[in-house]
Order: sequence, then C-alpha cells, then structure tokens
Amino acid sequence: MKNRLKIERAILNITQEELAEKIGVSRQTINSIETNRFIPSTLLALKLSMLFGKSVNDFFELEDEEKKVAK
Amino acid sequence: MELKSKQGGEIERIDKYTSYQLPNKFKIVGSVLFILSLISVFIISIYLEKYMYFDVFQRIGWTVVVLSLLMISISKEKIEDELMTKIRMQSYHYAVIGTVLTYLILPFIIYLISFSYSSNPTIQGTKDIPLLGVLIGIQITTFRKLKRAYNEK
Repeated sequence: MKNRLKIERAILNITQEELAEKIGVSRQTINSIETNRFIPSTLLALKLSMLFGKSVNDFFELEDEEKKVAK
Repeated sequence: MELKSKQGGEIERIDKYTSYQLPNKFKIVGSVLFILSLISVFIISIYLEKYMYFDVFQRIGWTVVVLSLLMISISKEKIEDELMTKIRMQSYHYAVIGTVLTYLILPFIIYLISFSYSSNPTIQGTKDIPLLGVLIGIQITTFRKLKRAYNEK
C-alpha cells in the first residue's frame, strides 16, 4: 500500500511531530507510515482523513499487485 | 446466545491480560531494580556461598532480576500507540521462538563440544524442557480460544 501522507502533511504545512500530536500517536508512527514501513489501522486512517478533510482513498492507495488480488 | 456471551467473555478476559501495562515510569524503576538485583546476585554468589540459605537467597535474587525485566517489558512507552503495540508483539514473538530454539539446540552443541575434553559427557538443561512445552502449549491454547471466539457469529 502506498500513501500521500507526506504530501498531505506538506499541504497543511505541519511537521511530523505536530501531526502526531494532533492524532495522538508518536512521531515514529507518522514517519513509519510515510516511509511505508507501517500500515495504520482503519481507526488511525479515519483520524487522518478527518484531519486532512479528505477521503481515506485520497491519500491511501493499493499497489498494482494488491489491486489485482482485490478484483 | 449463552455461547456468544461466553466467547465474548473469553476475548475480554484475554484482552484484559494482554492489554494490561504499567505506567511508563516503571521502565526506570525496573532498570534500577535490575541493576541492583544483578549486583546482589553476584554479591550473594561470592560472599554467601557457604551460608545455609544460599540457594534461597540466590533464587530470590534471580527472581527479582527476572521480575525487573518483566517490569520493563510491560511498561508503556511515553506515547503508546498501535505501532508500539505491533513492535511489542513482534518482539514477544521473536523472544519466544528464539528462546525455544536456542534452549533446544544449545545443549546438543555443548554436549558435542564436551566430547573433546570429557570421556563421559552429560547433556545439560533437560529438566527445563517441559517449561518450554508449557510456554508453547499456553500460546497454542490461547490462539485457538481467541480464534474460536473471534469467529463467533
């Protein structure tokens, strides 16, 4: 799964630390999501969605191989 | 209906045990206790070796060493979130598999090495093997219980 978290964060002009604080996680968690090392839970994805004011699908996307399995 | 509440209760009970964590400050308390108990174990083994209750004191010392490590292990991080939960589960998994394999294989390696300097080598650590069985047994039982409980309609 790939994501646009870094871009969305840049649009809001906030640091990893600030984003982490807003949704109640650690800075390492934000960094791990941005670098695709950690896939967040639905709950966390929805919190991010609320913060960015966008649908989860706008900043999380399945990789091509994952899309084939889902079809 | 009765079955459902039973299964729900099972998840709740196991969740209560697995999600319980000490406050973050217990990491420091555990670390201090670990150093102190380790020092006391060495002092006991040097100065109290001929004392009547040497075994009891040594056992108490090692028990505190392990309890202090447990304290560090189950203490919360400064910010406890789902990544920390995942990392903790991964580390427990690694620790269990690593310990079981090491404990099972190491005595054989030591046994083979001891052939080179002893004509009558003995294999060590055999009496602790049932403990590993209990550990894995609890894991399998808990896994099956949870799998059944989560699958409940």
